Amino acid sequence: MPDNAAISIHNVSVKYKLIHERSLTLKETAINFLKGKRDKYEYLWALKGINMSVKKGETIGIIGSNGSGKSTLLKVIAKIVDPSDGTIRHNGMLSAMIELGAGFNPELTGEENIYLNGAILGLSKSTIRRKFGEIVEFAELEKFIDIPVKNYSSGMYMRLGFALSTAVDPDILIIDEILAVGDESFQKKCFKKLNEFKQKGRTIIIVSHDLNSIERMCDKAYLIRDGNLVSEGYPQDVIHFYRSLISKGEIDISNVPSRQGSGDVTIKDVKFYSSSGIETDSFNTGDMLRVRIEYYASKKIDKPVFGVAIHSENWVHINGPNTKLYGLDIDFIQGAGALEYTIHSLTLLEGGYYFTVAIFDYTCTQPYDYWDKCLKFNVSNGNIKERYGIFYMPSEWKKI
Amino acid sequence: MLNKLKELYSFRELLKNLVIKELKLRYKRSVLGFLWTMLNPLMMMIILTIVFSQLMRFDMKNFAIFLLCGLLPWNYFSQSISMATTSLISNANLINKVYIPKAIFPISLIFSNMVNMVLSLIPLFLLMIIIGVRIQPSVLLIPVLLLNLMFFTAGISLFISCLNVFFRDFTHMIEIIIMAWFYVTPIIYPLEKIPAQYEMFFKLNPLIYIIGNFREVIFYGRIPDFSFILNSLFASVISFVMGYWYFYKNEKQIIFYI
Repeated sequence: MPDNAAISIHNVSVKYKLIHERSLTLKETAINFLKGKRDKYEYLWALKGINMSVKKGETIGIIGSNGSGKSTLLKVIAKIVDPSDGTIRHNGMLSAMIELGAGFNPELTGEENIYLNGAILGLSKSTIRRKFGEIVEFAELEKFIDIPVKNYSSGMYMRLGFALSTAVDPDILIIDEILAVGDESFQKKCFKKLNEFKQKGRTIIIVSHDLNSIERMCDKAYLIRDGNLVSEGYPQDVIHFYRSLISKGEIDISNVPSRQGSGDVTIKDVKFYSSSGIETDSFNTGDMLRVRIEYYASKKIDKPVFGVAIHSENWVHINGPNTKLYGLDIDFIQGAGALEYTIHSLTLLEGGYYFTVAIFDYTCTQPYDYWDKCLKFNVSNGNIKERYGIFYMPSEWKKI
Repeated sequence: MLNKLKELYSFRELLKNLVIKELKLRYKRSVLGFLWTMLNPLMMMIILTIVFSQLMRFDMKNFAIFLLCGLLPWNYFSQSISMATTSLISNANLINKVYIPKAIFPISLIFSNMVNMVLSLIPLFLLMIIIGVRIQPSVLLIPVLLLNLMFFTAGISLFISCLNVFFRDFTHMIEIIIMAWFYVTPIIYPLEKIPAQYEMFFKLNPLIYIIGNFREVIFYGRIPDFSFILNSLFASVISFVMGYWYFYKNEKQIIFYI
């Protein structure tokens, strides 16, 4: 292992035993044993022969769809899962809180949890005591540090988790899908903290669906697909390749969840209808497109804002209307309900388009539920003969 | 295997914190707090004393003290192993998210219950003073006996906590096993009551020695028989080594089943 390597992964494979008709209980095991029946199982290779070398001071991003094996890879790096084959070596202290606040006990106060989780992350009591003020200040929880964590809001919970994870000041920091949480100002703080880390020459490993932040933060990206490392290199290139796989349909969009939000309101269903009221996801240029959004608000929500967006297959942002910009003020919502968004003339040219639906608070900063490019519809040209670009503008040609 | 033990030692700060958490959670929001540790065995003792000395006409001097001497170590043992059964499963979230030596979860229970055990010795000695049973110098052996009990319990706890990850119905079986074990161990009855024809089988039960020693030093006020000491040391070493070995063997598989 070279001196400048922080992590070196050599030919690592992980197999899971996928058991069909598994005898989960002693009783069944005993009966099956007496009957001479064996558990039926097959092996599922979550990772196949992965080779990676992460240099000290590098920030790397791991991307891939759901079930691609990227979480398993992260768990291998974090020593949570032992590889079935191959070796992994670390150089330096590792902080692997794969989920922020995973070790919090809801009954204990913020302060008690700092000590408990600090110990989980390997800090000594004196170190925690020394950093206590810093953690509380970073998490902005001065007033709430002596109340049980179960009374915290999800934002407070995450802030404390992040503050703790970074207070460890490890040589290698592992972060799984956390940059999407918290409000905007706290996110900025997190990015700033991570940048400080980078400047100190620490190694950071990020797994995220948020391709934009991977592109912004990382020096290098890896794409995992079906347990194989299929692409590595500059983040822009790897992300471009990933997007091209998605748009070619080689990766199912439903496995690329980019859903986030507080969950106080959830989007239940989104359906596309044609002008004749038939549910469909195929349209012709110039057709009417009607979208029905069904939601459920678990409590009374004042002044929600519903928004949608359309992106082309190569992720060009085409439009992004919402109810607030339109001037439709919704006083409040509670329980189940539905909303309709109608495009009178769909002036898009032939191709597939991603559809985003989101419900925000009135300031449009806090999402209740956000389905980022989770739906897709197709457009055929129909009578329109134009082929270039993505847009049809009702127009005419005349020789004068 | 020794490396694993060393690693466990390096996580002692966490172990300490987990023990404190256990104790805090147990007594949080209860008015009597730590008093419960002492009240619980006392009340059980009162019930059992009434049942045995009044209803079943069990004639013995200072039956209450006799009972407590066996009941306290038994409570430690049974509570520890029944809590250990689910200790890995109930910490699944943590095990899935961060690397910690997994043995730390059952082990932390061994320590937190030991704190309770030691505290519950206080009412026992108070009661002895009130009733007028003399406390003999042999009680100085108690720390050794506690250590002995701890290692025995730790081995079984490690084994059961791991087994229960692979076979979930063990949770239901363990309660029955504990109950049966309670009755085959001389806790509510003296050693002499064991029928002679079954003595051989009873002697295979290591708790006879491990718990019996407590009664010898506290109630009878004498140094236990040499064979008792030897047997109990032997049992705890075997239990710990086997339990730890089984746990260590299967530790890597736990993550796939939890």
